[in-house]
Amino acid sequence: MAELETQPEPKQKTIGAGQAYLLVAVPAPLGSEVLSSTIEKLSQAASRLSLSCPLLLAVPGEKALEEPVAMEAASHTNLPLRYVTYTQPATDAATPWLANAATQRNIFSLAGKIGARACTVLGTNGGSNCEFLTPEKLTLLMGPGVEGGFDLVMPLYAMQAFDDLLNKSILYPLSRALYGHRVRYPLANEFQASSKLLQKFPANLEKDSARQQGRLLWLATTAVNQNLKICQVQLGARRPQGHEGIELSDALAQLAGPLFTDMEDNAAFWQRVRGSHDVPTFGNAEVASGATDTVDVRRMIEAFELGARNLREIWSLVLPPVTLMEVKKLSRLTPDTFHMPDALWARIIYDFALAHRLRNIHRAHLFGALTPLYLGWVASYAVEVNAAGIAMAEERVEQLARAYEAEKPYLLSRWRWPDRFHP
Amino acid sequence: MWEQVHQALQQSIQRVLFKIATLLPGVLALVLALLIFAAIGWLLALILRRILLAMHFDTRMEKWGIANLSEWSPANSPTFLVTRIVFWATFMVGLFVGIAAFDASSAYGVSSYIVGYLSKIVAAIVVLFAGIVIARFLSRSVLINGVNMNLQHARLLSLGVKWLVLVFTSAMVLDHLGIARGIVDLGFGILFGGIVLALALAVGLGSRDLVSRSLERENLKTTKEEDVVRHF
Repeated sequence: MAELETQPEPKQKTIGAGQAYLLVAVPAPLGSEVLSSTIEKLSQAASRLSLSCPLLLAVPGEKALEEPVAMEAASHTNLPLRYVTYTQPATDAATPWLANAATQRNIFSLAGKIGARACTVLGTNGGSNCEFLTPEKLTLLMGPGVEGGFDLVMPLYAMQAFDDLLNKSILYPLSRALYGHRVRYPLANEFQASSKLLQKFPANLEKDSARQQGRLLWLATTAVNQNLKICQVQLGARRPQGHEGIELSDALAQLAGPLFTDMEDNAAFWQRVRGSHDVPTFGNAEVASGATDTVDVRRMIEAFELGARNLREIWSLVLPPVTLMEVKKLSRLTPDTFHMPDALWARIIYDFALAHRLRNIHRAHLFGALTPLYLGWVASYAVEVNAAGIAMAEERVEQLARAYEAEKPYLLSRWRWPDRFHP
Repeated sequence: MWEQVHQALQQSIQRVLFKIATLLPGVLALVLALLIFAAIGWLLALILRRILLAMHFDTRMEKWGIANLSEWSPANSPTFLVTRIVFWATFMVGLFVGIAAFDASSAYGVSSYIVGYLSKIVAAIVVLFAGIVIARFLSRSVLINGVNMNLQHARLLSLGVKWLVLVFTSAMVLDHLGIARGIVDLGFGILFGGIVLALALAVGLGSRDLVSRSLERENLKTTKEEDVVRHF
């Protein structure tokens, strides 16, 4: 899978022979300028951390066209750097998260082959991510793993109130309630994984590649399952990539679908977990700049009402009667008073996760049917944040996460006895 | 005179009784064949079910990525689907054997006709079943996508698609069975053409303003809302 390039430097050894490298992987090809500046930043970060092991920079591509540039940039620093390329899987603009997962699998596979001490991934949207990461942020990202013995270092971003709403409404609170870890961005662009965690992946990945199709890598879940140490580092303000041209229902299917599949795989584990706990966090919290606008929720509420009028028959295959009744009541509220209780939203997500497992309806339809409900939640969140102020957004997300935890017994009951009548 | 009538009646009753007596072994053979093959089918299905459960067939299917099979099977289990197919296939073989035995005993030569027509009926049932499943799937797809595209008449569209597919399926089934072929062809052509024309007229004339308003709203949405809200 990975293609190791020969090195022109004089004191060369075969990669992986006797040296424990710190693998730094870039998931997209970099231009010469970005590559040089990334190496410069890495050099600064390495000197701050007093790294004892050499760095191995992995860049996708069949041929190491930029290798001379990398070596030239490295020669200006004291960085013990080597350069390697790996095969980047074919990407599809319609499925960016699956493409990222495939790339990460290739990186992990490479890390496994060379026996890397740890693997740092610098983001999944190429050059712009590398520019976002300053030497200080790189130090923060690589430090806890190298110096503190953490097996997984996850990022913590300062997002704007109306950014990354799918993560705020489903991915974060659901993974927190299920597995008990408060990792704010379970699908991270930047992270560092130790060799202990990496060892858990190749076995899973290569065993049945057909099974990996349509799945994402939930690093924190794997780390928690294996009782490994996790921490978060404050990487500052950033806006999500905002993948153009992807329908909301497709995004739901690509992001929530794999999490639901993961739930099925780890059912024996998460059923034993109660509550949640904080993970150590390093770095100074930043406040997201901008985002002073309020959101006009009328269109979202219209979409929700349209769904409530037309999709009742399909929702009834997934949701129990009481939930349907509450949804119907919601559809009669005016935009000013529109409020979807957190407990209701948590139960809706749990019911959809169960329907995903039981295949009550075709999975392509399942996430399409969830979309108007999701827009209803977004509208409710926006109404509250508009009224309480942007500063309250984080507290609002925390409140939702607690509601997911409080409703977990409902999920357990439905998951264990799906045929039992639920009013 | 009465003697002749009595004699004629006696002869016709004898002929009827003779025919019944000739058919009875055939009917008996048919019933017996059905019972025996049903028992064989049940036994085969039972053995197969145990083997598949022992080799964790359902889990393997999922691991191999053939997840869609579960969606078509009873109780969402590929094992049940396979065992049921085996049972009903054996039962159908029994039916054919029974009909052949019935025909041999009655010596009327109807079995080739019945078997030939029976195969058409089976194919027609398969077409009908597939049509109903496709109609349901497409109508749900249109409804959900219509709602997510903010189309106010998504339900009407979904209903239209469902009935189009059902009408199309019915025409195919009747045509396959050879029932009123000419009328079905003509009727289907008129009905299908009429529905398409009506939809075209409705969208082209009646809903012109509605469509333009929908498109305007979509454009407005993409400029204003998405600047502030980012879902992913």
